[in-house]
Amino acid sequence: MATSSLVRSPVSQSPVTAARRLLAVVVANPFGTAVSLGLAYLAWTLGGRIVDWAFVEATWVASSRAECSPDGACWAFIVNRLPQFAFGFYPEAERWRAWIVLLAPPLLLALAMAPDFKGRRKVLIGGFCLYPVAAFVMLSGGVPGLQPVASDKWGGLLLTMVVGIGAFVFSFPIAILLALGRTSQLPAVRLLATGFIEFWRGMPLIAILFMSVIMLPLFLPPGVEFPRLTLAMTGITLYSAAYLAEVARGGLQAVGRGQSEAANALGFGFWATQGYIIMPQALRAVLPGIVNSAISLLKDTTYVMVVGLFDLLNIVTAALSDPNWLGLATEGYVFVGLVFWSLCFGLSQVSARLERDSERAHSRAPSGERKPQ
Amino acid sequence: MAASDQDMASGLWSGADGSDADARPQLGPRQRWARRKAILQQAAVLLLVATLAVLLVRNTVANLQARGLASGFDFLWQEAGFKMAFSLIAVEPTSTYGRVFLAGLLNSLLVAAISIVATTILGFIIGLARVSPSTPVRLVARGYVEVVRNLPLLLHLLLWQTVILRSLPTVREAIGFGDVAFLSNRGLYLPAPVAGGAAAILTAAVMAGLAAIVVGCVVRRRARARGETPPRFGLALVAGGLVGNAAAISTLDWQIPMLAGFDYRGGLKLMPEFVSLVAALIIYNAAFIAEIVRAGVQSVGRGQKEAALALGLSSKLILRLVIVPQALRVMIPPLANQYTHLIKASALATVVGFPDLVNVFLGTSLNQTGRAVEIVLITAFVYLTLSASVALATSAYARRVKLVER
Repeated sequence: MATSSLVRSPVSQSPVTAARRLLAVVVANPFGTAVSLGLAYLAWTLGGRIVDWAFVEATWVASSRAECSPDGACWAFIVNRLPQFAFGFYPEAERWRAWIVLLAPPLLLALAMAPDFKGRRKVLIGGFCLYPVAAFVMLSGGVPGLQPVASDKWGGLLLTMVVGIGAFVFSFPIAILLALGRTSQLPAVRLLATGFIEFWRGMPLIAILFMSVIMLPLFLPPGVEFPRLTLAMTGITLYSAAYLAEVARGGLQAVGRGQSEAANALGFGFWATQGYIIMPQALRAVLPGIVNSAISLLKDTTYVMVVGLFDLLNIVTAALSDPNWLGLATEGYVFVGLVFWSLCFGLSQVSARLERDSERAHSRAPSGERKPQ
Repeated sequence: MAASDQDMASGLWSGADGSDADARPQLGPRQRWARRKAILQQAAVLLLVATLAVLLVRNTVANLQARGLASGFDFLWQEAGFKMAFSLIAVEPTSTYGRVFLAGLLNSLLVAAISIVATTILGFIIGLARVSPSTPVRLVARGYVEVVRNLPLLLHLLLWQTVILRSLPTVREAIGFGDVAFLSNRGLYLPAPVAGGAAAILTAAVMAGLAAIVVGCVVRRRARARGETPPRFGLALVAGGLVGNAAAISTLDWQIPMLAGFDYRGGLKLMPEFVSLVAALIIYNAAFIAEIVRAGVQSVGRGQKEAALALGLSSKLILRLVIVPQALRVMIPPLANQYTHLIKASALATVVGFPDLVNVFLGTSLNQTGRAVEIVLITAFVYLTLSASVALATSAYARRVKLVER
């Protein structure tokens, strides 16, 4: 009886056979069918109520909670505060700078993904390396033509992006060095790299953030002070570097030993071998893992709340206590959830596609090449 | 160092120059240079790191002196002067920082232990649903995973804290579960056993019962592994232990929470911070464990399932006897990773105000005493020990279930 559900025969389906197969599945799996019927009922009733709340009865334009319909969502709260949720307390006259910083990554990505675009690699790699520095200069100003804006004015989605992308990009070179150190032939280097990686991987990010705000100022020479954002970003960068290093190490192990031996035989030195031969293959092999690390990092940026930075989640949480808009936690968190969900889900689709592509590339590669060790 | 060099060199040379065993093997100039270079490089790296460390320590000492902060671990025996909202051991304002540390650690471990057990169960259910033959079940499981894991854990936590728990009924209209447990916006109320005068005897009896069950199981398992019929006394031990424990527990007096005035009295009250923290940890991590389970099940070759079908096993038995045991082997390393993640994530308790280790020690205690270096060192030590013990336990288990190829 269970056969029909366990073994799927690749028969082409006419409507009649499809119906038969459906019946067979129902007979073979009465529990599953009952569950699905129950879920369908739940989805029907609950889904209707959610649509009612979120769209039918919702209020989009209002100046306070009192003007919102009590039966639906009060999206007016989000609409009114959208600039603040996007940019934090960034001065209004200078918001165009924040717009540029916020829109640059999707625009560059769209440009790079355009079909038949020759400079794809240049745009991607150049953007990846230069974006954090350019964004930092753009936001903090202090150069001719740009008013200085203190980093405690940055907030909302802007801060989430700055922390997320900045920490990811800065952690990349550190991660590669750590991965090379951990796979090094030199015992002292291996020991140091391993200890460093395991320390940062073993600590909770919350504790790391506390530590970086409390301990880092102690480590600095007396008189030198950094803003909170820099301290927190240092902690997150090192944390992310440790995780990324483990991903990169996986990639290094996937590159056959013959590659470095061949490079040696051709007279390549250590750094040339790593830079031209090993790393490109290793990083390509673990590209999905790298994207997954980026997703985790993006979600982890919300932890900066504990050191008093106003990222998207924290600025919405703070806005919930506005006396004009009390009791709108659901609306606020649904909004934050939608933003994070679309970013993370989008990235995870990228990761899944990369995985499929690399599988296809592998199946086309001649046998014996690139054998994982 | 010298000895191992010589071993290695003789290993290299013996093939080419086997006849002349007594002569000290000669290294070529290139190899000698390579060895010296390696030593020099390592010395340079160590020197760099040591310089950095000395610099940091000097800065720290100077900064601590400039701020007039004391140092040393003696604060652990000083009076902390604050109460904890929830603790497994009694903490009074007169308790020491050492006791506060211990209570915080126990709270962290409690949260982690409960969440790990529950999230594993939920994750397995959802993971198996991900590979269910029924399409709707698969779709629902996939929906759960995609929604839950793409939201930050902190958002889950705040949702539970402010949206879900606040929308629960007040204490007076609490949701009752068979009139013994109650859920309200002030937390979860559970019945608790009352330790009477015979508490020690009862505990001893329960322990003895548990021991009997474990011994019985081990005896039966060993015999089965050797291919023998399990001896009768094994079964008797298990049955006796079970009956004895049931009897011991049935004599317990359960204190049921009762509504008195504005709150429930008696029983065990779990504060809402605890409930939301544990709920968020369970739900979030279950999505990741489900993916681990799915990958594990899919890693088992199709032939295994087909062979089991050919032997006439039912689909439930195939899952239990063929798929899961083999999938488990693949799942162990990522599962351990997820558990470490969960233990570390339990530090989010700080955000909702549950008194865990990070909250009471790295937070309140550090603010009061200013012993930043010491407290950070202790906290780091605790978390690194926890991570290391998960890793050790995992590798021990992985060795036990390793496939023995014949």
